[in-house]
Amino acid sequence: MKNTKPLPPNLQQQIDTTPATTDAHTKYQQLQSSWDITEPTLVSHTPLLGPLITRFRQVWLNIATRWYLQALRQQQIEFNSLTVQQINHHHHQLNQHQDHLKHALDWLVTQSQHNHDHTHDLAQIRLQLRNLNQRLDHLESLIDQHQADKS
Amino acid sequence: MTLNLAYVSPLPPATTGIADYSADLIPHLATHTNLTLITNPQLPPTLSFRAPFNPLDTQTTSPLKQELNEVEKSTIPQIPIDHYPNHHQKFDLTLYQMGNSLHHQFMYPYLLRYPGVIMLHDYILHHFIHALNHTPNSPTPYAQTLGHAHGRPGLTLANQILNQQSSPPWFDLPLNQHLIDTSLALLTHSHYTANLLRAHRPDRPIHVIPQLMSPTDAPHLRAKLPWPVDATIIASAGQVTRNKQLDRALRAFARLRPQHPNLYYLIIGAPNPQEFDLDPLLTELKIHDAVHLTGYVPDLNTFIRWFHTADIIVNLRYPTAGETSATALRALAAARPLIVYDHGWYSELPATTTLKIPPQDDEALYQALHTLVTNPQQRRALGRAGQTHIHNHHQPATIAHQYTTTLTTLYHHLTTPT
Repeated sequence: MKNTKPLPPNLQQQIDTTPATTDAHTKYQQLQSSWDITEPTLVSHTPLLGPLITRFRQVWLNIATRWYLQALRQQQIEFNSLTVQQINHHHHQLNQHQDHLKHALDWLVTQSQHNHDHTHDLAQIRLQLRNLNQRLDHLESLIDQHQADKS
Repeated sequence: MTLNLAYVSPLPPATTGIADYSADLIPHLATHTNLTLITNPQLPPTLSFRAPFNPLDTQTTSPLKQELNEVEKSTIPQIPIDHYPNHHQKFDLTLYQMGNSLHHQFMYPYLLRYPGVIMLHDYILHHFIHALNHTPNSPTPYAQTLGHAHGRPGLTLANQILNQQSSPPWFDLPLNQHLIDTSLALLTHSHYTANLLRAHRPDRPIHVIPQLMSPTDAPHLRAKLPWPVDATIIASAGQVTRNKQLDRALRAFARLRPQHPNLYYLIIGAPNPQEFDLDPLLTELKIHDAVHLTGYVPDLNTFIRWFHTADIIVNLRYPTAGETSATALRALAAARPLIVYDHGWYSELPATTTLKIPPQDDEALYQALHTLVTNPQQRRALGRAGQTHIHNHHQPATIAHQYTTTLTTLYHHLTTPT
């Protein structure tokens, strides 16, 4: 774009840090790291007996629910993984579309500037042409007069 | 060579200073050119414009005079702007008087479609462009203009503003680039604005023609004020908006008053209630009894008489929109000493006529007021010099002559193929 001026720094910063854009970017980054569900680590803060309680819970979990929760967790991870892959795919496509849109907008702005320049040039050429026609008319009338004088 | 000139401007009854400016200029300009007024069909002019001393009237050389079958040869021909496209080829040049208000909306599409010479009364056109109507399902003129000037970031900013996520940066972005790019040439009232325009388009012809003003001599209106006849009166004039800095002027006045109990402050005009709440300030400064507000003064003669009522005129504007202040010139025309901020066009006022202080410097403002309040001789000297300056440089006949010379030079320049 040949003739655009950059925005003043305060306004450029304003458009770069729109709350909606910043928020969406943060959530997208969170999504990249939170799709994989990790097993929680069991801890107890009870003095002295804490390690014993933790061990007991671990054993109970292994006996009672691990076989069931592990399957569920695996299903959820697969679902999350597919979802994030799909979101990343759309995100990539969206970025591509945005790039195309950016190029299109840049092209439109350039065309707008060319358009204004051409309107200016056309007006000036029209003015020059009009002036030349007037001078031509004047010359023709002089020739006519000269010929009339001769005859 | 006598120019065939199309003249496009708001005209009275449009309530803008540019309409009054044109009403003063047109009769004088018509003595030097074959002038045709291009008018707003929604608001036809109420004045009958004549060129009383036009030697060209006897020659009927105006291309439109015969076509429009004007009864009186001294009447300046007029055509509504929607008929202008059928006639524009008949003119050597079209002169647009452009300012930052919706009074110029009628001419805007023609200005872009049929480029001419633009007298840019305001450097900043942001308020005008923002207020323009737009047709549904098309980009707004605001977005178009911001995009044209600042590319994609400009479009993003326009969307934010139009969706009310942020407020328009009125004084940061002038939004005049598209007009500069299209125009054949530009005229301004100040070198300050001319330099800003040149920075954007050094290839466009740009000329300075001073603002128009005549010296005045009118009786004062002191009898209408509840103050002593020998009171020293400081005044500010025009609609009171935030950027007129009246609060600073009143604070400086309040500081001075205890030492000068015969000092009073006159506000010629009315506050814009959305921008300035005067009463709480007067209460805070305890100067209710020493300040008088005239309210809006619709009649120009009365307006001028109020200027002659004051001893000192304070005309502060911050930020500046690149404007030329008619109020400042009216103070000089009335031979009144003037205090202004030293920036923009105001810096170009001769130092012999005006006290110029750094913008927003309250101490300098206090000192300038103190100097003038305590020194009537200096007030008179500044006032006389100001009125002489107006007499020599701003009278309508002088300005019309400058227009004619400039436009003729421009015509020769523009019609010479490069």
